[in-house]
Amino acid sequence: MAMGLEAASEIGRRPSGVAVALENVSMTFGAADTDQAVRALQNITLEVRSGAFVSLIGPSGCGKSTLLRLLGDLLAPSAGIIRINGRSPREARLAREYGIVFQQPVLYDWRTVAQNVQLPLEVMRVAADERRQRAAALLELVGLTEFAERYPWELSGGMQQRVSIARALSFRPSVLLMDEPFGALDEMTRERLNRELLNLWSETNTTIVFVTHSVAEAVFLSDRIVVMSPRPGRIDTVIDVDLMRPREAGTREAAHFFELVAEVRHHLREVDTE
Amino acid sequence: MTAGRATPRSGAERRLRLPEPLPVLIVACVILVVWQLVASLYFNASVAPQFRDGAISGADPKVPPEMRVVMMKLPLPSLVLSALVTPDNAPQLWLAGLITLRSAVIGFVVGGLIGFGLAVVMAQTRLIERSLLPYAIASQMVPVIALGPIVYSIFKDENVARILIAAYVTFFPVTVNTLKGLRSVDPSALALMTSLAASRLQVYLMLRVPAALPYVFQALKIAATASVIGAIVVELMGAQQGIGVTILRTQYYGPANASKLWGAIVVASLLGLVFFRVVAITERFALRWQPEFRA
Repeated sequence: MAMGLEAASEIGRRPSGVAVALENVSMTFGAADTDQAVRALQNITLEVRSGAFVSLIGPSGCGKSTLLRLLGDLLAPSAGIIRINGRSPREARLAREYGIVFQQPVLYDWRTVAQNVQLPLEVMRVAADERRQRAAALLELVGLTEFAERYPWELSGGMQQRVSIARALSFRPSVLLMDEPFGALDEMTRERLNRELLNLWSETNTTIVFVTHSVAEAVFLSDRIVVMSPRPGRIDTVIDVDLMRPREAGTREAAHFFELVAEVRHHLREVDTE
Repeated sequence: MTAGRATPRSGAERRLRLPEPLPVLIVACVILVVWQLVASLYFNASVAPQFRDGAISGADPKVPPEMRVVMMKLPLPSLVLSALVTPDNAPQLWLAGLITLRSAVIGFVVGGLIGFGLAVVMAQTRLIERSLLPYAIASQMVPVIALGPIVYSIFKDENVARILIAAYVTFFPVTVNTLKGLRSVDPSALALMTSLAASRLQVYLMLRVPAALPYVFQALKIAATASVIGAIVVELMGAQQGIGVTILRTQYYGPANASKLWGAIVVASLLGLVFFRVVAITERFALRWQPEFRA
């Protein structure tokens, strides 16, 4: 008993286990050994701690979105092993461990904002009372309480993406997969949503894998940045981001922030000219 | 209750808009006035003064035949309107119209359900679609004229005949459009459902069917008018009641019934119009979220 308690307190708020593990994962589209075969990913080996925030960054065609889809069991790898909290991606998906946020909000137009947030809970047959409570709490968290009964098209793009994030968090998934979620937004909105996302993340134990094109965004958000190179997609470098948390608007003006941005840029330039 | 809802939503809502029936009614009045003028000129030019009363009533055998058919060719709208409101004509025009409409609506509902069900079945796999769709297409190549006598000889009931034909013309557009709708779901919306490990049924109820509804309604609007036409056509081949029967009989009985024939034509088009409007209003209500209906 005593040992159990000790162990639990040691693990603390951010458990130290491995949430996502990839071993020699490769992905080829089209039949192998033919002209049509496109090698999207080659020998990806990566581990992500539970509760960590990891960004994937790289030029177009480096397979970062493909990697995200492999993690989420929306695609099956051609080779290699993927484990999510010790399970296969399929098992993890069936156990509803994933929240997904796409570049587009992908809200259902026929549902109100609150109904959209409740969608995963409906799929999981959560009781109506609890669904409403959780949706209300999440909308409060993303500052959209007064828009609960509106329809998605009555909201701005940034608001829609907040709804999409609230929806992904509604069932408290252990892993959040985000595919350039703020890519379509203007700079100001993007920076505000970056801060909001970090706040949300600090209130959950969610592991986040985040695909982005923006170096500044990756540095601001992440514990680690995985720089990928294209054709076929490979991991070029993994950069640890040792900026203090909590990160705020001022973080973007810190000298070390600029150093890290420069470092990531440097690696990106290298992989792009290869 | 919420402050946000009380505020005016957009300028579009406050923009001056004519009440919907008004432009339609204005056009109707213009047409009627022009028609009345042209028809009276034509009537007065073609029919000698002493035969005019007889040509209108159609009952006077002394009126020469070429003068009697004038009313058939271009009737006076005033006479058609009075035929429509004469209580004696009500059973043959309005009651007959309602009988036809009732069958058309039942057939429309039956055909709509069958069409929808067929689309859901075909949407399951390409194999089923490839096996069934050619038959659905072939079925539409058979003219209703050819089917009517067969249906009568099998069922010997005009209500069944009307309902079957109305269902027959309804199911096809509903099947084709629903199938397209069920297949045209945004891949990301589908990936979301996959990531949530939603069951096939849940994907249908929560995503595919709502996403297909705009396509379904498009088909239902086409089918609303087609089902009325189908029911009328099948009435021509042996029914005892219905607006099609009135059209047929008033034609047989000659010029004396000219204004009643035209009245029946008006009733028939009103049936289709009203049915179409009902479906269109239902669509507007069911698809408030569609871009074209957003306030």
